[in-house]
Amino acid sequence: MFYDNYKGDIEAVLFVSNEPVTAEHLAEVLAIDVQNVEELITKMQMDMMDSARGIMIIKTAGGYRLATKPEYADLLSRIVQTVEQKLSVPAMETLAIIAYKQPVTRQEVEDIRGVKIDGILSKLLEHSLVREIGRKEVIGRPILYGTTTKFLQTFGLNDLTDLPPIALDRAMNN
Amino acid sequence: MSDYSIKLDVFEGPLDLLMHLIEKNKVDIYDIPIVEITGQYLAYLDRFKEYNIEIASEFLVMAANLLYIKSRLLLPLTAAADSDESEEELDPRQELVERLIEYRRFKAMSGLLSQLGEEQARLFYHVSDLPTIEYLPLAELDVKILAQAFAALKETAVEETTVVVREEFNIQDKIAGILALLTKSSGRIELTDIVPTRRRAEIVAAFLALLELIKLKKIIIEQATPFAAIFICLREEQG
Repeated sequence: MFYDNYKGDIEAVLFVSNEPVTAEHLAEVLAIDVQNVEELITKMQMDMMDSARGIMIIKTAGGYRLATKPEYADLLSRIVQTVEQKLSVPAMETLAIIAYKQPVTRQEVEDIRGVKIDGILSKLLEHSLVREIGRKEVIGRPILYGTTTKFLQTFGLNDLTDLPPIALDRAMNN
Repeated sequence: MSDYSIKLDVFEGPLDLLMHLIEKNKVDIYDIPIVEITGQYLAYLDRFKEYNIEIASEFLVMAANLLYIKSRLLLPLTAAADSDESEEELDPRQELVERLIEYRRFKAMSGLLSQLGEEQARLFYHVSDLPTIEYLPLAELDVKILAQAFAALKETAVEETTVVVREEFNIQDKIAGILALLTKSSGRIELTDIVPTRRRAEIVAAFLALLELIKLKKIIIEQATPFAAIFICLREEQG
């Protein structure tokens, strides 16, 4: 196919991009249709599944990005110094509530968790996983919080609809 | 002592502690034996006190809430029944159960999210140092150009003497001028008459001259209506 010539172009653009690149942006740069870009990337992803390849194209935060395959994580941790940054359990719980309930006020999150979250919230803001997205039009106009693009990238989500569906009650008893 | 502090740290809040008790007792979350659970909950708070751990107010609020539910369950249903029947039919545990379920739901979701995060942490990315704006190295430079630039600089060097331009309009002259004009025009002139050149320096000088004349009570200013022409009038000498 004629468009196969563009595979190299796409790979080159993704290689030098430090952020996910949207299909629209790729289409614009290469002067081809978005649909062609998506088809090409699907083909490239299949090519890269070959065990001889160490990298893959992932879809994250609304765009495409080159990444190493997860099976090389142990190998790479031998050559790259990785600093583990784990969120505490309370921080993960708070983040989960904000992710699913957004836009949500601090008070609403505190009601669910049953404890104050000031410290945790400022930590999440500091990590750019959460941001202020407006104010609720009620008395006091409290700040509404939501998740960021970095949140999507951190959890490998393309958009918020990618969040795992909320498990319903009876079914998940203990 | 030390292993207790670890154990107590586990409870993030009252809901966390309650969930722990429910799981430990293997009871149905929809049918919590309030009497037992309340007893165990209060025993935990006592243990906090024993080790001089400050109890967060949220734990106390929940303790009060549990005791209230317990009292509602123990009392016969007759008392307030007639006031609002539909409310009376509600299990007093209902609200607590809903909160616990919501809490448990997000605890589970946070576990799932953690897993996603861990999977994602196994991927590595190429970090490019390609800047978005690429500055090419400066082209066609030569030491001769530098020498020429320096020579040109010497030629155009600023002279050390400066000519101070004489003030064209001064306030004293302007005051005399306005007074002369007023006497010539029978004591009444229009404001625009005193700035024939309309130059900024003249306008400034004329304005300051007017202020001075007003202060000296030599003139008065007249304006019939807003935005109408402004007149300067000679003030009659008093006494």
